[in-house]
Amino acid sequence: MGTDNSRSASGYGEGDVSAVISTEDVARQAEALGATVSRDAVRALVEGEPLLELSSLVAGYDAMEILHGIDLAVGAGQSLCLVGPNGAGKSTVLHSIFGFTRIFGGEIVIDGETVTALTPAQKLKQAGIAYVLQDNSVFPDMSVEENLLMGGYLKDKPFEAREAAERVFEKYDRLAARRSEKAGVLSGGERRLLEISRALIMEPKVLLVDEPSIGLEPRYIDMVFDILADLQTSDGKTIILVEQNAKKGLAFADLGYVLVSGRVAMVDEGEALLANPEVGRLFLGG
Amino acid sequence: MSFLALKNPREASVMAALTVGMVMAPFFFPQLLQQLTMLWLMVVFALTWDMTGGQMGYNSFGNVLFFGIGAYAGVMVQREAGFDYHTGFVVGVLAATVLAGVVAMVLGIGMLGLRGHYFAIGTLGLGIAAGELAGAWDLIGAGSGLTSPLYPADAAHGRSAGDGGQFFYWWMAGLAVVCFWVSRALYRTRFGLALNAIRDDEDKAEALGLPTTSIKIFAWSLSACLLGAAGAIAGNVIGFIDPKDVAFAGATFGVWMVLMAILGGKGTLWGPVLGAVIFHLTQELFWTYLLGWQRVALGLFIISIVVFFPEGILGSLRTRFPALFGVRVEERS
Amino acid sequence: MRSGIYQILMSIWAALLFMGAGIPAAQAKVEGETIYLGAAVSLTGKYSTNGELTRRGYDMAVEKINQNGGVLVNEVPYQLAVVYYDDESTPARGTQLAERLILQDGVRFMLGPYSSGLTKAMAPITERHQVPMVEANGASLSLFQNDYRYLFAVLSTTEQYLTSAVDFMDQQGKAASDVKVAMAFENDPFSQDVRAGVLEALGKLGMQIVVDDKLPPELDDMSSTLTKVKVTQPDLLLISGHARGAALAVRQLDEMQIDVPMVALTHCDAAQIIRKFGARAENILCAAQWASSLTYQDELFGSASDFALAYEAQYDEPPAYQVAESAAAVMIYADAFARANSFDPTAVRDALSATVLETFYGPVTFDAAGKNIAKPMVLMQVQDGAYRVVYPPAAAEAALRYEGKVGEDAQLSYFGVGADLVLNGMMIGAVFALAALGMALVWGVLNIINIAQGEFVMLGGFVALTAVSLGVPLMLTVPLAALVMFCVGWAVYRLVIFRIIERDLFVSLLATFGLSILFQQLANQVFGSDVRTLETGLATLNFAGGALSISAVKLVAFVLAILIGVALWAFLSRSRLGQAIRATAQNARAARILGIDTDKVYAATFGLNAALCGAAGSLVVMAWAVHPYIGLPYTVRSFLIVVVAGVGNVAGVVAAGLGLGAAENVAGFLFGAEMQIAFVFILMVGVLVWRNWRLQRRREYLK
Repeated sequence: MGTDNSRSASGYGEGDVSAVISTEDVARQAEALGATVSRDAVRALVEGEPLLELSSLVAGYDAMEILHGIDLAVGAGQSLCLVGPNGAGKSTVLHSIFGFTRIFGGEIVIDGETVTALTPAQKLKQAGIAYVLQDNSVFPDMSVEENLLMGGYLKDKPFEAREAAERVFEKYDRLAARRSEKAGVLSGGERRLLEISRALIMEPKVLLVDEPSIGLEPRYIDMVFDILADLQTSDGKTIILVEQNAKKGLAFADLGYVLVSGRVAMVDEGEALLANPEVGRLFLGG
Repeated sequence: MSFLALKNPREASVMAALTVGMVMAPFFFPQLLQQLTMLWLMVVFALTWDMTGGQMGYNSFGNVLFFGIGAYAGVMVQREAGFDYHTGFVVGVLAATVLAGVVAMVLGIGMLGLRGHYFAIGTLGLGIAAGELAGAWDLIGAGSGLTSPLYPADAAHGRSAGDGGQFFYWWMAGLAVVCFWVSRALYRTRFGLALNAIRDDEDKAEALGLPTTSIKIFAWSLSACLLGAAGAIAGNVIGFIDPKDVAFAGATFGVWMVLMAILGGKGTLWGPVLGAVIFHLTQELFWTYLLGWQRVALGLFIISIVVFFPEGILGSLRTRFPALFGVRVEERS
Repeated sequence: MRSGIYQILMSIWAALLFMGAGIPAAQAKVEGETIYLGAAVSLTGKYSTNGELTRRGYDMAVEKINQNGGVLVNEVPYQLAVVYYDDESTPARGTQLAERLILQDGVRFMLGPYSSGLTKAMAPITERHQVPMVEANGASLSLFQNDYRYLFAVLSTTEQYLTSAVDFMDQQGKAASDVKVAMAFENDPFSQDVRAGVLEALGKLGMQIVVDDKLPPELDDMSSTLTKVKVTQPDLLLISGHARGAALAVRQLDEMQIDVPMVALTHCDAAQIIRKFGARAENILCAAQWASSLTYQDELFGSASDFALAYEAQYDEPPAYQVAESAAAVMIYADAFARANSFDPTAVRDALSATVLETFYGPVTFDAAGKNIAKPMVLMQVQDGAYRVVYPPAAAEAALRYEGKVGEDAQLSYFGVGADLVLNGMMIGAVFALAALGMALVWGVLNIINIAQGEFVMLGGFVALTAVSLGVPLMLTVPLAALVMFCVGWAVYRLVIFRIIERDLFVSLLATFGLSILFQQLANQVFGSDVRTLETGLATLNFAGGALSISAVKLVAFVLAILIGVALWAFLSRSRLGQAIRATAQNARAARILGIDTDKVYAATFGLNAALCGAAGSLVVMAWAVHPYIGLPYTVRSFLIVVVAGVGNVAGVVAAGLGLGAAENVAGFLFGAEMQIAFVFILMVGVLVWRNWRLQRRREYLK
């Protein structure tokens, strides 16, 4: 089966058709990468005390266990990208941190406090963790401004939410320009911007971002990563993201984890993983 | 005998048991004859509903419309056409079948374009409106209803009316058997697959080139024909057709059709049959022992089925004992 | 092969066992020293109130006869006993239970059910099995035109019911051909037969028929028919619609301020019009099979008034004639058994045929067809708060009070009448809009179509009724009903709805259908099937020279409904919970990540919906009427309104609601009351199909 370059598809990657591997193969080969990574290796990537730490987290939905003992550590102001094959449990990690899954065992610690059992509302309000969903998650019939105000739903006083919204408008004039329009008519990139900035209203310390680039045109993808980079450097937010576009994700993030079948298979700095040939072959298209 | 395709020994033995039961029942339990006749009617209800509902995904709440049309058509023919009793009865059943099918074809053009819950509520509206309209139509007796002609008496014994019990029993049982075999044959052909395709994703089915509109109309008309025949027979069994309580009884027969199919397991062949039997028995038990509260109990029963038993009995059995249904389950490593 | 046969045999055995489960121990016609009579009565369903009266009549007679030594047959005393089944007020059940009583329970002597319809259904069966049936509540003349030999009726047949009123009219001096008669008859076998008798009488006299309406059996509003009465200004109004018809007629005639010189109804006493409506019932003529003031008597019960006293002592209310005639039926059997001196059904049948008996209910003699030709129908008039017999002359206690019209009334303007129809329609349309708003909420937020919506409205009405009967002041009933129903809605969510939220829409349809049946039947069991109203004592306002009349309570209901709608809109757009509800409706997952507990939102929304319906129901019971079966039309109306207006469009829903109310009223006026409900359902189907057709055309363009 020779490589017929005339049929290679152009796209984001640089590989040709031979780079395509079936999902089952990826999963099998990824398992061969190694057994679970040790806690020390995880901790070693963080300087000082981690802001957010997962210890042997076992979690899932109903009776099904998806995560089989995840260790994770990320420091304040760091960014971490989770990559891996489909069904590995990447989104489940984010869900678990936020409180959408059943926790069967293990702990979640943020800033020294154990927050494993907190409800999503408590995570958002008290623990300072915010979630940005992967799918369209604006309120389409509400205006941009109303969407932002909804971000502050948990605020004790409504005016705090209004102040926070004004700060958002000052920072992002693209949104300010559209503030009274219904969120349903925004373009893809503007929507993603709205979703991210809505998450900022509660002034979280940690942002959980699920597939920031999914469904976006190339120019908007860069925009999104620029925004996230800015939030990390200027506002000191800690960002944990899941990204199918592993290249972009690992290029952006300080740290990278490879998740396979509910376990952490590899951890390293983002660039290092990017350069790793096995990772490249399995997840980056060459 | 290949068209019978009796490959599964389990299925064959159940069929044999039912056949024997069906044939022997009138002789062993003559006092239960009307109840048994109604049991076969329930089987027809469940099977015909499932044809468009469980198999095709068009959940109708108003199939009772065709039952009512059949009941009125059959009895009108018997009363007005001037045939002797048995001829009149047969002609009535045929007329009912044809009329119900035609009405289904005509209505289907508008109704089968509706999707999902719109179809369900739309057909519900049709069924109930039919009851109201029938109640206003003087030709068919309006609110006073229609009585079916008395079964011819055995003059030698000096009776004024004969006992048609067995006669109607055989007709209803026969119809149930026809229903069953027709369904069985249909579901084994490509047509059956087409029905399922429409249920699972109609747009894709259409994109694949299936003539979905024709298929839908055909399936609905087929159920309508069978229901019409059932109505003509039932009209005689009950003896008196009331527009709202017998012919177009939306809140009873109309809903029961759906429930029986779901209880047994919709989208299967034996599910509706099983559901009909269990439902009918349960209902009779409620009526006898819970005097006054039987319909309350029925409401609770309905809710429990829907909430806790959505796949129906066959569905739950299939999940628990997949091997019985020929499904292989592999362990995940 | 052996295992195959074995399986077959086991299956057969299982099948037989299965079938055997359904056979209770058969009861013989006569067991030991008890004679068993079989009876179908309507214990549930729309005839449950009268079915209960029938049962009481049977029981009273059985008890009295047994107390007095029972029945002597061949010098052996026998006790009487009745085997009861519930026919659920439906003919199909009636026929099944007739078969069951005869074939399974071995009964050889039947007592009749309540209503002509049910009797019509059961007669062929008793006839076929040659089992005598003595019935007391199926008056339809057509029953006796079928050459049945085993059917006997103690009551006077339908053609006599209202004809005496026609005769009275004829005696009042006006030329018959100048007399205008309006009539409305329920669309059921009994009332239609009464109508047939009336038509014959009118035809013979040559009177003009100006209104001839069929009323739907689930009657809860006669206003479109009565508007026609108002417009045509008849001399005589005849209405037959069982107890519901009588109650509604009295109430709405007064409400709409319609003054007809002579009004004759059936079933007045079962409807308790004097007790419920007081002065408004004055001068109304009531057809009755029997009155306690009549001078009939017998050895068992004494006089008619003795019977009435005995009944009142036990049940704390005066007996309606249904009780008396049912008791008489049992007495007929006792007499026949004694004369036949046998338990052979044919011999008993012959004895029945030869009956000549005086009872407290009246004399009984059967003609060849089996009907009682000895007892005349009685016409009573409400005079000074009591029934007075005015016909037949031999038994009359008082003279008829009648005041003819003075001159001709001015012709009502079409505009006035049209405005009346539209405005009155809008009044109830506002209530439809409330229920529709609730449905839109639940549909938008939980993605569930609540088929039990109408039942929530119905329950709200009954809560209001119960509250008032417990002494709660009228003004608090609306908020109280809303509050109670909120809790009911919350509970229903927690028990049932939350399990079906994530499932497909069809499942929610079916589950809520089950709920609707459950609530319907519970309400029927607890409150009875009667039409109930709440008297507010508010007056009626008149405009446009009497053409336009709106009862004040309807106006209040309208205003309240609009206010509640506005409050709802304000709540949704301003309050925090309202925000959460809107957010959840638009994107539930997004709401969750912002810390909103969507489960609580769902529960609150469903509860809120129930509260809206509860408020609507309390308005309905005050300004119109409720009974356990009003639910489904309300559900369909709500659905129709939401489909037309759109789920998120509050103003649109209100407008559509008002429009539907008006349209329904006009349709009822133009096409006849019995088409009013059909109109709503057909309209819904039409709207769905039309909408879909337009959507499909767009899909065609995209292809």
